[in-house]
Amino acid sequence: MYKRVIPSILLRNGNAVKGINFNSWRQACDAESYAKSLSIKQADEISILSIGNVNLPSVLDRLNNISRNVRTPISYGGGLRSLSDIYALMQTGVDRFILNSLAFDDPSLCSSIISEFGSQAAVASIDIAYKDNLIYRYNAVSRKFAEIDLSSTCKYLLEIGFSEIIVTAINCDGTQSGMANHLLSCFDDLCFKNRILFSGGIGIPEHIICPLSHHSVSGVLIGSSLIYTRYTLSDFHSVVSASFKLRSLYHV
Amino acid sequence: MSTVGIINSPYSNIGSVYSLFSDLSHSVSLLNPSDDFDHDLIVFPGNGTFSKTMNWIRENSLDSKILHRVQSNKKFLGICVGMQIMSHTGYEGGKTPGLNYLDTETKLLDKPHIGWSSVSLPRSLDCNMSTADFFFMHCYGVYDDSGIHTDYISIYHENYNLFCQFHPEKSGFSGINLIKYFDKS
Repeated sequence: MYKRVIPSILLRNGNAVKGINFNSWRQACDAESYAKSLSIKQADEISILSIGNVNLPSVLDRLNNISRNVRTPISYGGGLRSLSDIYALMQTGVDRFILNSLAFDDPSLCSSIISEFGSQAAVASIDIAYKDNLIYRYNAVSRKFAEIDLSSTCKYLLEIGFSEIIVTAINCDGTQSGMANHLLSCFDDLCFKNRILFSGGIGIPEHIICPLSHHSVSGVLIGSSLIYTRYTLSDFHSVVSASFKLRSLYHV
Repeated sequence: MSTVGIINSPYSNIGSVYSLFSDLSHSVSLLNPSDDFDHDLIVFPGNGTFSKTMNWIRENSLDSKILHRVQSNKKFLGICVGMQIMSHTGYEGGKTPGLNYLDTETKLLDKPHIGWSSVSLPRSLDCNMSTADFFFMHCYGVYDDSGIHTDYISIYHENYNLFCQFHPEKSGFSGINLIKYFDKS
């Protein structure tokens, strides 16, 4: 199985945005065009996340338009609070759903959803910040931080039935200064093998080498560096090819 | 083929499959259980658990309809769970009888398999490539009863049927090419 490089698109009020440390949101690009170009450039997967107050029906409309031109897997998270939300989501061409708040607020509902659609379609997402050797989970609904043990929290998410977990380090998010590699030791347990998608801080293609070298990390999410720097998806593919193994790409 | 009917399973990523075949300039319909299966190609899309999918098939009396189709001389494409249901038994969501078309059972993998992997393509498809990379998204795999092969089956082609554990509709150019070859076969 190949390691994955997954561009992420953040939607806020229907617009694609980027931020720094989960703040300072600025309009980034047109989501439909960007997703289409990522698909043509053969992205391994595209992760779309809605933030802020989510008007799900209008987001589903956008996802319909986005997925029409995308031939690569799409995962989506944001504003999903019920089984019927997931049913509606799957009709749009999205392949996997991402649950953050719901995973902690109502794990029993998550289990029910997973029993309908399968673990393979279910991704958990956890946003964390770290300071003085302590790790905190950020609750986007209450906007509060709570101290956690990252390893046992992620084990709990796997026990609910999620097949993968997106771990986003807020300290690094949008900074392009490198990923929170020191957190990788939280996933040394073999139960995490190929179960973690690491996110936050990628600025240059070489930043992906360390996390992708860890057994737990099956893929990395890339945000700002594909939009605000000179690097393209092809540059990241070159690093994967040099350091790991790259899937066969077609010359387009 | 010019007409494609996609079985509208409530658990499937139906939008993806629909847009792929639309892009390939086919006339595409979403099929409700009461609709006729007289299209040039019938597709059972992926996503959903084995037990929920089989329960839905049986509740809607689709089992004999699907079996009739795969035994006919008209094309059928089963993707992911659409392949798994051809087994005699599946274990996802509890032990559940499948359609019993293939001598296989659908069992839990050691670990979820999410990502791109290389697949050896059957010669019967007459592709110009012997291997290609496709996107997989599954926690259960189809294993043949003979026990000769220890790995799950990624792809199976026979006569007018193509069964894929991976998702061709999400496998970029590899997936598009595979569908084109199946179209011509």
